[in-house]
Amino acid sequence: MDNQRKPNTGLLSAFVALLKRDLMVSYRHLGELMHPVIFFLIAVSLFPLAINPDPVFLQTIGSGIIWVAALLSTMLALDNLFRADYDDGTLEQLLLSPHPISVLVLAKVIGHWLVTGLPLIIIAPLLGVMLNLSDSAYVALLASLALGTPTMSLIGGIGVALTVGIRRNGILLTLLVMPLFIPILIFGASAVEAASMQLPFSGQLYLLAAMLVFSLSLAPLTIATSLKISLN
Amino acid sequence: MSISSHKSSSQTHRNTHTKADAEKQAVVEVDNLECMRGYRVLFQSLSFAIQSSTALHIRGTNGSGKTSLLRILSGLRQPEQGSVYWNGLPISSNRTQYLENISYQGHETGLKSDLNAIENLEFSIRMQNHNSSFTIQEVLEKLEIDHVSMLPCFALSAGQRQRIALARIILSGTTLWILDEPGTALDQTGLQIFESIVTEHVQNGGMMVFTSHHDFKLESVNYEQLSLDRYAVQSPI
Repeated sequence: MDNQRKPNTGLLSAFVALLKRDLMVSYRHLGELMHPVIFFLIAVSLFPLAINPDPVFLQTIGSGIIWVAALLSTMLALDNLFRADYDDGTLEQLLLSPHPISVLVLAKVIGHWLVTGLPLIIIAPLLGVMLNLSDSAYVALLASLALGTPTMSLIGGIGVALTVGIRRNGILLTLLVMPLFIPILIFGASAVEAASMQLPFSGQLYLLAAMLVFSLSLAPLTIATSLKISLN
Repeated sequence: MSISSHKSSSQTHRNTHTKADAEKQAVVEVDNLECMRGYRVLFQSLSFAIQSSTALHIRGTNGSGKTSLLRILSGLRQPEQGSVYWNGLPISSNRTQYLENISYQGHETGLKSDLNAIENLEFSIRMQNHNSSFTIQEVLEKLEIDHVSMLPCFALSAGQRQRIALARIILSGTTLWILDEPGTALDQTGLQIFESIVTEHVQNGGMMVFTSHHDFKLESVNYEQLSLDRYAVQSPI
């Protein structure tokens, strides 16, 4: 509380401060935080009821259901990435920080992923049990989600940054980012399916990792530029 | 194309303060600015300069482009034509250096409503490169909001939030303050505190550009006014 004059608090300090603030704000909105997770849970658990509760049948469609539900739940949570900050003026202040905006938006995306993507990875094994996923598939499920959900947060961030200045942007955001999510969905679900059939799945994981590295390096720059355009 | 000078007290005698000595060359120049909203030109051929130890009051009717001008000055908005210069360098190519020296407050307070005043202020201090020599507690006491500093901002009145936003500006320790309607929601005491803070800042070599429909009592500082209505473009229709 008692801050002495610090000549240069630095980029790392700003990065940590932003991450900490976002997590603190999320923590004080626990109910809102649970929406995507609850959606994920409900969506997955409805499939056996509606289609066929036969364990053998569930095993074949399980990986696809979990991945589709994870994608939709990420989609659902995306708009919150910059919406609240845009409304209360803190996004303006973020853009006026002397630090590189691309690094700061990375802190925001990481903070957002920690509260929306990470919980999905944690409860996915539980849903795997419900869908009678074969034992060999769990590693692939966790690994593919761990690589895929941050990629979706980063790519989705671009869409949110482009549309944050538009009042009712729901369908536009979906149209923008959904095509870019499709490759992640294909390789993610296919990794889990291959693993459940005892086949090698490292190829799919490598591709997902490549997509993550690619979006990790370029998405922050794109998000920063898009935000500047949106707030112009 | 000059600024209608309300009170043209000489600036040369104001350099007795230490901060003013260090920053006496600080100057913001605006050259041939044009701003459009949609297909409408709000103002055109707008040029002016702001020296150290000056408060510039931007005036104009509703919709004359006051907020747009302040957003251009802060670098948030790109003008259709013209540039803004900080100490002779265009702000578009010297972003970091410029942003280290300015504070901006728009219509929104820029506070997280779930955090309390101290959490909000600590955050904004850590996002800056420089800080003022004041502590958070000192500034909160000066603004008479230290008694609500532990309440989340959503529980505060608009005036109290505005005071916290002012605390953020003071704590930034920057030279140029760009404030959009800073007097809104402030009560009589709040306005007086604001006037004394601004006077102190400007007398110490600072600069302020602000819009307001309220007349502030800033007699002891170099106070200039600029009316945007003179730069408005007549609609061709």
